[in-house]
Amino acid sequence: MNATTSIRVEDVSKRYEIGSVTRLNLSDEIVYHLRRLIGMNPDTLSKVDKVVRDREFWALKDVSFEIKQGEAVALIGANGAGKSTMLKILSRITTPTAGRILVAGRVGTMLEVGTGFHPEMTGRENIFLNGAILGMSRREIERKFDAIVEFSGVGRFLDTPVKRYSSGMYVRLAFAVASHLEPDVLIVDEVLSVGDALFQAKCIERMKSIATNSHTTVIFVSHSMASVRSLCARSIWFEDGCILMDGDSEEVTDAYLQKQEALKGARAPAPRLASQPPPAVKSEIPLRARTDRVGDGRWRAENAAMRFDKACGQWLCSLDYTSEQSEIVGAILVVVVHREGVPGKCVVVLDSRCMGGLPARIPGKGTIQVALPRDFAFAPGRYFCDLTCKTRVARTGYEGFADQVRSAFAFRVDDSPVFGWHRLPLTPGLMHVQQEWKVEGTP
Amino acid sequence: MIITIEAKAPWWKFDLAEIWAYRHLVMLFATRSLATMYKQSVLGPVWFLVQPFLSAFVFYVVFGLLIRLSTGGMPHMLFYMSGMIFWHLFVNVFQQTSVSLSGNMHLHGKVFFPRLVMPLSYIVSGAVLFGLNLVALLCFYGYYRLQGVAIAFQPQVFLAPLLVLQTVLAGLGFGLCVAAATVRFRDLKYALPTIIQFWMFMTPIFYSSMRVSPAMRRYMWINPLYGPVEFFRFSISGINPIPPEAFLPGMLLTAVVLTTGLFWFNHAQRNFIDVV
Repeated sequence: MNATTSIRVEDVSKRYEIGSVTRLNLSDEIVYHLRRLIGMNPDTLSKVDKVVRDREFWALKDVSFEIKQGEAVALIGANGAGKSTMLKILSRITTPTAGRILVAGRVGTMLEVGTGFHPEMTGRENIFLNGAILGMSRREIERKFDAIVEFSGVGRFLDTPVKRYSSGMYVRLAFAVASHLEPDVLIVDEVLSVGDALFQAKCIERMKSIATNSHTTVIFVSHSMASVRSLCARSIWFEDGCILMDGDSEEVTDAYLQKQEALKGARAPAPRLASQPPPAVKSEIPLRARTDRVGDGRWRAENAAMRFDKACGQWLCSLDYTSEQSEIVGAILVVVVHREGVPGKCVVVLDSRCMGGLPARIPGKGTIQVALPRDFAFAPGRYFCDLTCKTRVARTGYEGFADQVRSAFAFRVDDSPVFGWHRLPLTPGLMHVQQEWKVEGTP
Repeated sequence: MIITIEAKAPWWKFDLAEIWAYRHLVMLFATRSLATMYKQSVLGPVWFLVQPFLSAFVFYVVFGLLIRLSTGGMPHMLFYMSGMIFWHLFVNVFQQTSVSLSGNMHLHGKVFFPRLVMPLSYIVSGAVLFGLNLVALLCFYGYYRLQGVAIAFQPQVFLAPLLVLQTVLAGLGFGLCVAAATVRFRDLKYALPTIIQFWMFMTPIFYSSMRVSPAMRRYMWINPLYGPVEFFRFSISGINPIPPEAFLPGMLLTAVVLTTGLFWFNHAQRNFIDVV
């Protein structure tokens, strides 16, 4: 980690287990730990495996980024996209499931105002307690005491228990303490929307002065694109636990807002969406003419298809792409295949980061083809695919979004023969695989 | 200074420097719990002295007046109070520590500080309460001396700080184990009151261990509180001395439980916020 780096996040993933976490019951738990103790894989052969797998949920998937000292970076994204989990890991409230993070210096967190305030204690006592909880030393609080009181404007009531404060006063005092932290890294969750309009403006001012300060690194989570733009030069957009876009705040927030609009538009006319099949492909518009894309456009998808090649007996996915450069470095292609009528889950993900994938450099224009295994076939039905073109910067490991199109193309599978079957049987399964059957026994 | 946040940490890894850096917060939490304990009550801090008297008085009425359990020649109130103050110290630390993770979600879920800070603050506030209880006890001691009761301080009274230490460490050790275990096994929370009640009856607080047969008495030595309670009584009265080896089983158990507790807690605290 070099001297100007403040935070380095390396392949961080976080798994949550939804619902009840206890492993079934005490005896299963004991068996689980005994297996682990004698070096067996505890998950095999047990009911535990099934229960845990069904309930796991990845809030973050292999997230990597780097933040320089003094930078102010916003994390944006819809609820449940993973930003709050990222904040919790950065502020050491919980630990990642995989990966690691390096942070230079002291971390201060403002995930909530008034953490640890005790209603029975006076304003003065709470300033000291809250300051210490946030990580300030006694001397530091003493030094900033007057500034905190001045900022909060509750001077007259300093020796009154805070339970007698109006909610506005309470919040003002709490914000005043938190905002006088001077850590090397300040982590702020949506706390600026407190108090009256006048105080809010004051808070934004205060945050600005911290954010523009050259040695404090600020990480800021907000749903207000206006505050993001005014406080942070750089934004990282999270979606489904991955980084969708990372770059200049103006661009990222624009793309984000555009997407929000698109979603709103799609949602409005079809309130019965839940029972409807997932959005069909806009087949009338060819892929190269589509405008509902996200990314920096470093390279773009022009045309894509999935077809069954009878000659070699394999499913092939091909993509024609283009760019302004003569070659593309660190290209990553991800194709997510969905089955129509099966919302929420995908059939398979073709990811060039797996198993060989794409070479480090590919020509500026061309066709990428990926062949699926011979013993694999899609079950009859309609499918549609999301396309994501990314570029990876080798030095930092950033994966920037070059081009992403949801439901970029569709294909249909009829009951054409594969594996020597005359007809594919109709099945609730999403795919067919080559199978080898065997019977053993005595008459 | 570079902080590394990693998926896995070796179970033995303990960041003592970090806890030391937060000693100021330990004191503040202790002050907070003491300062807010009797706020807005009429008697206020006087309760600190009245409380031990009242609980000893209840014992006096039930076991002294009604059941007439022998105290081996020690004045009843003094006998009960000397047992009570050690028991209260233990239970304060034990009970609060055992819910220090699940009971402080609002703090631990919003801001990071070493999770051991809370248990340590319970020790500080528990020790202060113990000191105040001791003052109440000394008042009674003075009263009985003036009445001419045959009790006298023994030189061993200077070992009292070690008795306090043993009590506190036992409370901390068992508390940490329970705190770590309740992260996964919520059931423990419901069993705890019964366990504590049983434990109190097994500790010679309102009866003298002299009433227990010598063979059975040896089994009582395993209780980490047996030594402190009985020895303290002896050192302030000169009645009913206990052999030094009576301390060993309890001390051994304390050492084992405390070590287990520290490492287990240290491991459990990393991700408990996802589970509780």
